[in-house]
Amino acid sequence: MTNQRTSVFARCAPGVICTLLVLAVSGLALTGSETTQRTATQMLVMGVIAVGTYIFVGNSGVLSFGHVMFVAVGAYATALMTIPHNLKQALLPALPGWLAELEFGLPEALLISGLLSLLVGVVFSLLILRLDGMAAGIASLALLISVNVVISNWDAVTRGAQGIVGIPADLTVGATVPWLIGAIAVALAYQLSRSGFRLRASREDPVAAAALGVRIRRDRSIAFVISAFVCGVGGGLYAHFLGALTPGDVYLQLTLLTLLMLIVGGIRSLSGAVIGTVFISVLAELLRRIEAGGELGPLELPPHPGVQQLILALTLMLTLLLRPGGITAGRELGFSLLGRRRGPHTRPTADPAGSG
Amino acid sequence: MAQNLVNALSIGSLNALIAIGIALLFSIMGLINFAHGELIMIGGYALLWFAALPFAVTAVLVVAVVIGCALAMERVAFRSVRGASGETLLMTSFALSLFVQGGVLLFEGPNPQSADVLGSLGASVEVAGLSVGKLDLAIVGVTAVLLLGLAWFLRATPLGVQMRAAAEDFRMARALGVRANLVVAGAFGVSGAFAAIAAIFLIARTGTLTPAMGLGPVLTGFVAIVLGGLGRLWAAALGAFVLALLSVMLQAYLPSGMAAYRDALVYLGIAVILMFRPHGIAGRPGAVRV
Repeated sequence: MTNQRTSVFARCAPGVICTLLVLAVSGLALTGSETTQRTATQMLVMGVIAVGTYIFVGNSGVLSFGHVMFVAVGAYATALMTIPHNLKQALLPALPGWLAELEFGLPEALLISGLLSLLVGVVFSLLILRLDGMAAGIASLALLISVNVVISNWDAVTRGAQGIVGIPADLTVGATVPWLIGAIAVALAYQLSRSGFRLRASREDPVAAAALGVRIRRDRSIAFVISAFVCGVGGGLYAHFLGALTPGDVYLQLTLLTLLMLIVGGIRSLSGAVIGTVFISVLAELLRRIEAGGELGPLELPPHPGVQQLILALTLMLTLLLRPGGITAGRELGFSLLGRRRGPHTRPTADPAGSG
Repeated sequence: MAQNLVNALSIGSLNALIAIGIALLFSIMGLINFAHGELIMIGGYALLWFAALPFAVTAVLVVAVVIGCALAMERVAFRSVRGASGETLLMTSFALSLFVQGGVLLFEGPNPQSADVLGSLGASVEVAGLSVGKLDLAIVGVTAVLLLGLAWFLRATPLGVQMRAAAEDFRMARALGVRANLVVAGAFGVSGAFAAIAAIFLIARTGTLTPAMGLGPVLTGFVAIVLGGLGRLWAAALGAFVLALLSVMLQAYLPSGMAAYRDALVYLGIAVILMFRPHGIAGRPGAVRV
């Protein structure tokens, strides 16, 4: 645990270093081709989603397979609020009048989408957070499936499986960076708050934390709701990155990608979430180019669908076998070694079979 | 009404085959096996590879291939993380699932392929005034036989008894001379056999296969297990049938405008059930071990 008495400067170090890392990678990408810049934008958007998911999963230690539902809510809400008025009427004639009239700039739309996701989070936190561990993960997955079914069939608002087109695909690297920095700031602020400390205590040892008076469910709810807000904003950015949105875009594949980033980076620290995003984004882009075939230097490569998934999966497996805590292994980046030193195997786990 | 019950029984049987395969590994080593879906997927492709042979031979080969893959998964990936936390096991299985999917994608391509299995069972027969598909009968019958067979295996054979002991308390069982590797490999083998048979029936029902086809069934299996109650095999089967019943009944009785939202209601319903019974319908609240 970070010592309370360390200076503000030292406590904010992970946030500062993560921000510098993000700025450096984005700056590097800006010198590259248009494709590179687009990849960098995607990385930044994924960063917001990964950091948003981290706020809950990382601090609570409860694995959630359902956070993409907030991304979905945010993405569709932002799309509906930012598509130009006349296009929206042509696209979605059955839209309720007040919704058809709405037209916001991107920042306002993102914040409103975040708040909407937050409301959804409040409702769903009542459903999920009574559960523990595995059951919570599966229940959140059940809710993600529910949300996806609704999106796929609510033709009047989401155009169902056809998806929404004509979302202004105007997202640039420069426009996305501030949002990721904002997300990092929110995550850091939560992590350093009292509730954040209590939640991490409950992650390390729920029984001891409860004995010390931590109301685990309340702190989990707080983290869940904040996390929903950040994921909603990330969803809005994602919609503007894609330009066209179908229900499949915000479903299991995105869930798996987010978890991949978090686990490889190190799910138990903010630095891990950011490093994982950068690492996997760069790796995935390299693999995508190999997979597409063509010339790579002197080598002539035939297209190989599946290579990307194969190598990403191998990365994940090797991470789990050789470095189970991820790249950062639960430590935060700091100017000195401020890291939390406990590995993932040191805490006692409740017996899943419940015998004993 | 009776017709719907027959449907629910057939779908529930298929769900139960999948759920039991997953629940068995969970009860013994605390593993929620994402890669179980990939075993089903491999079973589907194996069905395609051996399609030219007589069906009985094909079926035996499919079961053998899938059991082989399950044992290989255990040896290569899960043995080195045995005893790690549930999350680590889950993530390992998730990585393995992506890996196998990527491999099949590389060799078979992403496009759906079609397979005609058990085409002769497409017809229906009249049973007590109901028209029942022969395939449904086969699924229910085979599942019943397999479940009884598993129950017998777990009670009457030395390996089965050792598996039950390991499920009760793995460390204690080892201390009493149960060989961990044998028990875990046995569990993977049984799990693989169930996956292979589920694959045959699944392909017989749907007729198509893709590298990503394992995800749907495995999610259904997970939900069934959590719904029924973690850590008990018969509870997993119960969860599978409840899930099927919920889904078929909503299909039948929802007004037509709402029918598209059936799955949303099913899964929302499951979240609500779990809210009131966090340990599943038949689960027992586990004592917290400090």
